Amino acid sequence: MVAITYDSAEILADFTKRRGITFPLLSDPKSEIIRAFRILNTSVPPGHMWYGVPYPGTYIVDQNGVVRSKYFESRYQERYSAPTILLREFGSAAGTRQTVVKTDHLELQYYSTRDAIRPSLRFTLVADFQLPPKMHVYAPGVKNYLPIRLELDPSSNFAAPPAEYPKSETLYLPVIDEKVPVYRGGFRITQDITMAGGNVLRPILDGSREMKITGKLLYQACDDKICYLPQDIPLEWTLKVEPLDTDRVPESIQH
Amino acid sequence: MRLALGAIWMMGCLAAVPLLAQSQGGGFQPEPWMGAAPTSTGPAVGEKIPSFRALDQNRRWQDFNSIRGPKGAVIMFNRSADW
Repeated sequence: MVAITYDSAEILADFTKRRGITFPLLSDPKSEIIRAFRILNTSVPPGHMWYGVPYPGTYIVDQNGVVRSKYFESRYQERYSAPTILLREFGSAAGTRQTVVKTDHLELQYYSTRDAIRPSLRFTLVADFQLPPKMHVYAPGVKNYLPIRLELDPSSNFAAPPAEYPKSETLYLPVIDEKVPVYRGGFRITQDITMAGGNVLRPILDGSREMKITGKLLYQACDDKICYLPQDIPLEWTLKVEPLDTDRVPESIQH
Repeated sequence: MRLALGAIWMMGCLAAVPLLAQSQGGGFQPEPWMGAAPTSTGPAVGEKIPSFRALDQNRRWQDFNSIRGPKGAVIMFNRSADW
């Protein structure tokens, strides 16, 4: 793993010392690597302190140097957090608090890929489901039944694109001669969150530094004999909110 | 849920990354162009990355062969470790 910036090696050394970085940070002061990757931020006017910076992003490459996936944001302030990338690449993000909910129809474990978040950070809310044998819930796109749906209460503290649902399977119901999209066994729903900027989060940062994201899970479950009433499970994530890092290197080696 | 060894190693390294990725102090004056969306995100999925060689924070030369692991590499581009 490596991080590349347009900083001098001195700046990177100072940052490494202050923050205990244990992986290589590469210095690209003339932005030659950044240009070779075609990600020079072309909106920055020459002469500005920012001139030479890349569009921030992350590549996952194989051992031959072929890009397998990449993560870029449309706004420079925003970043994919590492656990969200790990979740997408490896299917898991360990070490965060989980909440477990058990109903007559399913077991739900839900968590955030980060317990502590910062302004403009992108992270992921995860809901892992396990259904007992013969039980199913309806998937998005179903007609005449309630599909499973993760809904968040809106807030100015974050933006949330649509939740991501896994591919469903088709179940044939012989009694009514219907094919319906369902989930059975284990499956996962994820919801990305992009935090608002520091100005919006200022009241939280100046106060409790704690934020709750609330919402609900709606679903209708059926087994091989009966369809149960639609259910509504309240969800809540409690997150610690941290300020951005504003420490700088000594003035003598600054840009 | 099981994590691959590579993922565990990455988790350890990446624990420090939010500091790098989120160091957004700066003290700069806001300009309209600062919010411009990327005009390019570089090599596409399936495309090979360009070769590179650069000094690291310990003044050692590094290239793709020196930083990659058995399964490849995570290559992050950040604006700055300073501002």
